[in-house]
Amino acid sequence: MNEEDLISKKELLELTGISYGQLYRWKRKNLIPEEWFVRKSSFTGQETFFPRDKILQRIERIKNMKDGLSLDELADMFSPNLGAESMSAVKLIERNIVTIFSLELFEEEMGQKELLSFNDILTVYVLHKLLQGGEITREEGKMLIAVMREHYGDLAAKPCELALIRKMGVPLLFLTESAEQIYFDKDVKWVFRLSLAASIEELKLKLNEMEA
Amino acid sequence: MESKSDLRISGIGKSQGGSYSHVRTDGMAKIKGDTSCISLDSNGTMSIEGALQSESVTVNGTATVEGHVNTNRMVLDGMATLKEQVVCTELLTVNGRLSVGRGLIGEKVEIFGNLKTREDVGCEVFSVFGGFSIDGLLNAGLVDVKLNMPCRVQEIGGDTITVRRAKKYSVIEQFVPALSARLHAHTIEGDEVDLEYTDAEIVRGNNVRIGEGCKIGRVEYKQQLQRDADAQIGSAHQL
Repeated sequence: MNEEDLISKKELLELTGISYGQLYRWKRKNLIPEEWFVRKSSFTGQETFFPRDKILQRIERIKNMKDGLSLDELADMFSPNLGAESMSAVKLIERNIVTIFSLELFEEEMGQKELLSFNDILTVYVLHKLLQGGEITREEGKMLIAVMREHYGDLAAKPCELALIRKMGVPLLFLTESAEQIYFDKDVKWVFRLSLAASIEELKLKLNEMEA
Repeated sequence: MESKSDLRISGIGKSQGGSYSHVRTDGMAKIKGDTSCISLDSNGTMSIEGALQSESVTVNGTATVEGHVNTNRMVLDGMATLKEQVVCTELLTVNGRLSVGRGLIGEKVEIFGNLKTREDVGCEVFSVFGGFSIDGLLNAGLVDVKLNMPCRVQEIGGDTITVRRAKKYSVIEQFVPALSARLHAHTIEGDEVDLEYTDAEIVRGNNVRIGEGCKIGRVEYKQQLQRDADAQIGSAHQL
């Protein structure tokens, strides 16, 4: 992590206008993940720093949503743990969370299901996002379904990333806990990197919005 | 749900862990394995070689738990050593000594004796009439400390932080400063901070009062700073 990407606690409070009490309360409620608190030594001893973009975005979100939701509900939304919700395929289409196209692809691979678990919904949602963005092909979509089905359970509660690389036209899709420290030779091209935690957050937001 | 049996140990006894409805031990008891129950009541010496999950826990005497502890209410009269993370979702009352090998997460924590943890403590209300030693961050909505023994913590963060002295200066303290009832912290950060008899490097807050007996390296405040004539402050800055 670069020096410039960090923001000190003092600067953060000034910039966002929140108080120490609020910051610590949010930390207690796990609205701000423990790993974002970066301790570094400074002239006063030890200071706490945060990854600038992540924390500013998170605090903006909390400030916007805290009137509608309790802190515990917010914590649930930000946690990378899977939600308990399940939903029927028809409803997902109706609510415009996924498209028929991505759902059909999912059903082709997994067979038709009456009720989709959160994990399934997430898979379809990610699939939908990537297909729509034109980042992956149908074939790669199938790889995605397979990798999510097989491995997502192992990584569920951790902040993980989904990434696709290509070398000479050969795609390779993988799920990783942290892609910060992976280096490939120069022929390898990163096609996309997607934080699953962020996708889960988005999806939970969508599912909740609809209910309200 | 099928009803579960009770576990009772009187005198000297050993048992396997498992799932029970009520566990009661009198005398010397050893439970080998993870235990879950509705209530656990222990008198004498008890040790659990595993994790403990129970709605309520009462300990009289000494208790040792090797694994994680997860409860709603816990009352400790005596000495307890919990070697892993402790979660207590409603109320934790310590009338004796509690030592936690990892961190402590709770709602309301009352210390009338002594608390020692190796990692962070997070709760809504943390009230002390005794002493504590926390090797990490104490993060609580309300921190209310009545100093009675030496207290030590790396960092305190929260909404309202109050530190007061509960007893008068004793003769021993004048000769052995290490035993005096003072709070030692590196950093104290809160919205309302009101301190007495505290040694800290940095105190930050909106409204800060530095009362008698304090030695503070640097104070940063937003709205106002009240300082006692007796307090030593290295430097004060309004932000």
